[in-house]
Amino acid sequence: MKLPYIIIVDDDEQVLRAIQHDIRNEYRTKYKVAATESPLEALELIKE
Amino acid sequence: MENVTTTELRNTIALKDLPEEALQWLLDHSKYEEFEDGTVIGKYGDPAEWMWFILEGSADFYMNINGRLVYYFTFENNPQTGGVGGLIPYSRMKTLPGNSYAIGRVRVISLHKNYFHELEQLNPEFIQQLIGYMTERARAFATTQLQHEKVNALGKLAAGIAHELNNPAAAINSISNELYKRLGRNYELTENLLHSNMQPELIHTIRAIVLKKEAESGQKSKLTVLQKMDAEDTLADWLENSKITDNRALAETFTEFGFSIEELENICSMAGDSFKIVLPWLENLLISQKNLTDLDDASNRISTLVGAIKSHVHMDRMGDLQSTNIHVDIENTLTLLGHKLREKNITVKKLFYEKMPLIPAYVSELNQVWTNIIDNAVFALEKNGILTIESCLEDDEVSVNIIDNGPGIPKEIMSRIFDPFFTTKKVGEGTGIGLDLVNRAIKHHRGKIKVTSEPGNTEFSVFLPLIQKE
Repeated sequence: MKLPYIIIVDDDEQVLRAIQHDIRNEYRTKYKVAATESPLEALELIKE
Repeated sequence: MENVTTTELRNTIALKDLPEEALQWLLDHSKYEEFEDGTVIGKYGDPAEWMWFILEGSADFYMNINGRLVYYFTFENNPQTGGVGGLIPYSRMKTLPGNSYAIGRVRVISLHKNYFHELEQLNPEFIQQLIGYMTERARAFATTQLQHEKVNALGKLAAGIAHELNNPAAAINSISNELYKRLGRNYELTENLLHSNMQPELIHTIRAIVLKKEAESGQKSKLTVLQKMDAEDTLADWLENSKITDNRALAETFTEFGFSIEELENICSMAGDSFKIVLPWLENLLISQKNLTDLDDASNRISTLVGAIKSHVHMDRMGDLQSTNIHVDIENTLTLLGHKLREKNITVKKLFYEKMPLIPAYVSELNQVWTNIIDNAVFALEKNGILTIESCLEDDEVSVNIIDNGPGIPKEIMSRIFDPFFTTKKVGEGTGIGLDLVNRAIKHHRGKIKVTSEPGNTEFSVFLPLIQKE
């Protein structure tokens, strides 16, 4: 089963991890939750 | 002008020594006005064409700063302003820079600027005296402006610090909540573990594996997000096939700690039937451990920030010469300006001279030097710009070069950048005192400052002597 992505971007690693953690707890079954500090990497992910 | 007499005019300080015929001339050429308490005498943007002399009452002047009216000072019949307001001869003011409001009942006489020339012919000394009042007024303006700039600068610093502190504080809050949950779950998982028929020695083995993982974690190359997601998927599938519930959450944690399927299989083979209980128990332990690491990071970040603020303003030692490590000072400054650097995604290159000795300095003043120069550089830089900070030791002095690859300082303003109140920023946005402070602080240290600028390379070089005389 292919799950849709949620992509989180923030320049603060600690904030990023906290947000990813919260969103995963809520949406783990419905989405894949990717998190990155780099906007470029986020764009790459969207392309994929 | 029925109500006003030359005798009454003499009550206004600016006019008290004027000869009778000059006063009469003034009366003949001026218009008389009255304002009720609180009404507008002069409005922002109106042409500045009238000089007014206060006969009664006073006026509060509010400067228009980016659309906000800020109280500057009060015109009244005192020796500073002489009771003179509005346009003064030789003033270059074209339009009113703010609003003036009547305080109490205000009575004035106003002279139109078309008569200024005639007035000068009639009484040149009086014009001199008026220019004196204008100078006083400019000084009052400058003082108030300086105070506003200082308050603004402080406000900006506080906002930056609040932002910097807020993130780790929020992180600590969220992590400790998570840790509570995990500890609660530990009761349940431990109970399950005791019910299973696993060998106690297994815990020992698992501990060894986790320790090994920790040791490896530092050197392992970071996976890209996509690689990580793939690894999670693979693990999640494997866990699902092994009939383990919560497989996704477990997969996320095990991937985070760099566990491969082989390693998990290895644990499972040792655990036998109880692996379904062992893996969730292990995951819970790993997460708790990671939470503690994150807590540590977040609280360290707060301590570093508070340390930076403390040493920056030199709370504990004021005004004396102290030996200081300028590299640490510059690092602290960068920490405090961190939010600005991140906002523009600026790369900071530090080329520090390795054996830099401590140098004697008035540390908080010197920190102002670093702050102002770096702040200017950051302001000048565009997104993704590069800020380079070099330090060198030459004979009897230390030099620090702060270089940005922004658009550069235009040649025509180069000679004025150190002038107090000179700024290219909008009113209220820039201090115009930054580089003046820098200059004064460096002079205090008997140092030198040099600037070179061309598009793509602006360099501020600060030279400080290794020895200071008290």
